[in-house]
Amino acid sequence: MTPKEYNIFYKEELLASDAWRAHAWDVFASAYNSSERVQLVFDRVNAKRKYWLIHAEYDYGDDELPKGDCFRLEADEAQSIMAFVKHVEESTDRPIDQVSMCVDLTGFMRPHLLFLALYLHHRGVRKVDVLYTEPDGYRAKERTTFSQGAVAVRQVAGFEGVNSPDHADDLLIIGAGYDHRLIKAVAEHKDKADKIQIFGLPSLRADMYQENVLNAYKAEDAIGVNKSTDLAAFFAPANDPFVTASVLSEIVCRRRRIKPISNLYLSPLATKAQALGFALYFIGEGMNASTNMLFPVSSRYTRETSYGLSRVWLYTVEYPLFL
Amino acid sequence: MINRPDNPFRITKSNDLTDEQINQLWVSVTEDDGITGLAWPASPTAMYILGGKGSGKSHLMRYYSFPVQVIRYQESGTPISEGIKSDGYVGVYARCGGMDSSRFEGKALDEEKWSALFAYYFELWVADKTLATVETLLDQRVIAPETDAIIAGEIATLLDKDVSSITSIVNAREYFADLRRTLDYAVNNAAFGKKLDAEILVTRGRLFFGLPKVFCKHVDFLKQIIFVYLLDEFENFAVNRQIYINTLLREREGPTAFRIGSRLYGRKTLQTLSGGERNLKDSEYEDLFLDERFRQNATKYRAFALRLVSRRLDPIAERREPNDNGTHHLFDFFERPNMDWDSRYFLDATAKHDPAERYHLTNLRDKLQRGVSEGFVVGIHGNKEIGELIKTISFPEHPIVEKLCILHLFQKWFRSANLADAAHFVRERAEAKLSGEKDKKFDEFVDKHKSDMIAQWLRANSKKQVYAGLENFILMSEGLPRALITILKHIYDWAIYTGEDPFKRGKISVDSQHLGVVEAADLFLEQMLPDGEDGVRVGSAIERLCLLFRANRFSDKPIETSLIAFSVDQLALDPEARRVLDLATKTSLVISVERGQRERNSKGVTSKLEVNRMLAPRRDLPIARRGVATFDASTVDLIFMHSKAAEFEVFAKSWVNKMTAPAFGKRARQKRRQVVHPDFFE
Repeated sequence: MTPKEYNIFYKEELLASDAWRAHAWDVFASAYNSSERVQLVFDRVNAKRKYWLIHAEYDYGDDELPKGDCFRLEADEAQSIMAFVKHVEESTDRPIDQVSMCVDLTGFMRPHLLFLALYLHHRGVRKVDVLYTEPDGYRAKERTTFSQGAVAVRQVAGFEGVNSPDHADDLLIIGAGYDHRLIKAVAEHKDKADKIQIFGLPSLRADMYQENVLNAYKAEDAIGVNKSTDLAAFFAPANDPFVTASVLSEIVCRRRRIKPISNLYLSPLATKAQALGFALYFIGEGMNASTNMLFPVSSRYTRETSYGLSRVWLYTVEYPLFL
Repeated sequence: MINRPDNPFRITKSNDLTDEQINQLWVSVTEDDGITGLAWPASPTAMYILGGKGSGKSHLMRYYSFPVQVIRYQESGTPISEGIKSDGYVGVYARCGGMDSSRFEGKALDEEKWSALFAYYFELWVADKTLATVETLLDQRVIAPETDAIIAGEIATLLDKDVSSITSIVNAREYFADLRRTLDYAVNNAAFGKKLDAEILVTRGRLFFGLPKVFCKHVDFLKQIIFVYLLDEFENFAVNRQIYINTLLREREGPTAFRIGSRLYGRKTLQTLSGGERNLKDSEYEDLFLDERFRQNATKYRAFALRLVSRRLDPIAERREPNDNGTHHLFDFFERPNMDWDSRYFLDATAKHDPAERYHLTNLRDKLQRGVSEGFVVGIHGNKEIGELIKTISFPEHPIVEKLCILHLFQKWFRSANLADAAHFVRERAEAKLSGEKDKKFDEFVDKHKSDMIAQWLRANSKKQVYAGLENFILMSEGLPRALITILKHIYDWAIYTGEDPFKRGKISVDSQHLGVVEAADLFLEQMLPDGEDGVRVGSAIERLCLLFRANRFSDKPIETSLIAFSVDQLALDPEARRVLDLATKTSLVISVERGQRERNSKGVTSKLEVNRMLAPRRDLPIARRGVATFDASTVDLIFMHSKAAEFEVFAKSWVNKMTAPAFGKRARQKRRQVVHPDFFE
């Protein structure tokens, strides 16, 4: 049993000073919010068609929408993403697997971005480019609030797995982000499971790791004590989905060497780049197994939590290489 | 490198315990009810086991589960068949949260179809656990191999179609697992827009009730026993899923029983699918409110808590049920200063200060001076008389006696009595008390007010409030064993950090106890608050309530003594205030005190509610309740409605003013008339 390597995929930094002319796509999609980094990237990308995806959770009224082709997404990620893909197919008059596509993850709700990654694979798309922009910082540092309203933990559509009724050796891996109440919610939801947290290190900015750990500490009691293993914390770069997927693979292999896993639960609560890594791991190793993705869904999200644009990353996901 | 000692209170949740630890750390509630205690597992009547977070529901239910039953039989050397016969039940434990029932919704499918699929899946899910127990009996050769095929044959008849492949119990389990897997795939694929065509092979309840019937029919030692389904974390099921479980309770057949574990707010409906009927209490089901039951019987809870602590410290001790002699020593591990009214503690603590500079005396002088100038004082006219009054109530060797005398003066002042007379009166009583004389009224006065006066003295002298002693921690835990374990966990950590040797050598210092208990209090609030905006609403209501109680405790003339409770007519509340108060109660942050409060004037019965004592250290509140503030509905609306923040500020200010000399909330006016017959010692 050896961990799978996901580092073979391309990752490239796009410099803010360049015009990004080397890259062009048929379609570009980005989830709209009030962060300047999301809007700067939207304007900069070269694509024949650009779509703004409008998440219901940001609660934008019609008069607040940006100019351009806006497509509203509802809370049901499966229905919304399938409808959007259909919209793209209709407007380009081509099936989705024949469209060159780039998606900016930055403003996405995680369940939607997870389902999008899985659905594109399901539809036979061979390659998709993904952008992620790092902020200069978060407005209220470790006290920044992202989610608002009631939280309900549920499985992400399509990631529901084949479940074992034996929960004696369940394992929950949490990508630990800033929002400690989400960590607490998911940890309490699977409180019988052993829990391992992945922290973003290197973090996006030097001070963010400390802020991240400070927040995770607030959920310490919900995380509890592991029964089967002393492994409790791992690290993966906050801006690298491929290393994140590799770290997940390594954690699962190490844990399986100690004991079998009844049900494996994954919960990506950190950066969107890491969330993509969780989806890639699932596609690579978790399909049709007792692996599933959990997410503490909130009714509303803050429209603007960060300031500035620090770096832009381009990841190239090539689905056939997983299999 | 020296290893840090392992904290015996490190694990606070039963879900983090293995089956062996569940058994090892089990403590029954009373000496005499043994393992068949509160939940009566062998009784066929259904029961909801309800309680706050950390009340011990899961530990109780897991203790009754079959794997833990087997551990007990092995420990006592009892053959499994004999053990089961003696217990009268086999416990099948399942956690409703484990199923992730939320995936049985949405995906453009109608609710009726999801309900049917969920019921089918759940039936297969629990059947797996039931079959696993019988598989253990086969493995242990308690069931004869030839019976296996007979049982398997009958299991096959429970399905709605002919299945010839079920030839053994292991086989049946595999068959059901295949059905479950097929359904898992179908549910997954429904997310991609595929049609969900799953064949449902089991009529509602056929496996739940049919499997135990088959086992009891064919296995001799199971003939008189019941299979008790221990379904935990019921709060994780949405209303429609709960309706299905309620229906099973109502339609129960054969040798089966249900115990449903849920948080206080977790039972969302009593509705069933049986003609839309609701289950009736004491007819279809019973309720066991776990923490409430603990709170109702403080003596039993105390004994239980002591055994719980003792078991953590020495889990493998031969004597598994330590008696009083075995647990009293636990108190000795905690430093607890003498905090009585005549304790030397207060004198020693301020020995370095000049008595003339004692804060409470200078404060009294200032207030008297202001009171005289504004016309609020009767019997005192100038600085000379103020000096004499202060001399009259001075007891340099007894700071708390001084505080009590000053309180008496403030009480008289509030009633516009002659303060010079009052000072002489109270001095006489205090001197008598110090010389050992009995005076029922003054003794009661001291007893009633000393806690608040000590708290005031500690604060005025920049000292932390004292929350120390195991007895107090048991009281603070309010019937929630996890709260007690959490306090001890944090105290232990601080004691180790400060170089003490807790529960081994010496006593745990007051400082370590204080640091641990404050940390545990913060964590408790964080853990108990509901999610989302309701959490913010409940949290701010609790803060407001604590703010009023704190202001009362540290005021010149508290309205009530040792105040952490209030009474109100809940029916008269604004619906939003009632909702938030209900949430605070269901999350155990506010505790409903039994029997309510009979109002002095209206004779009506209102609810009596107190702030959970676990929160006391966060705002320096008392942990022993005496007084109860009677609030009218509009006041409670201000406290529990987020939208009334500004009005609450105004109310809080007037609440403080009413208790503060010299004006006690009144405007300055001409000097008052003397009251001829003042009451002593309110």
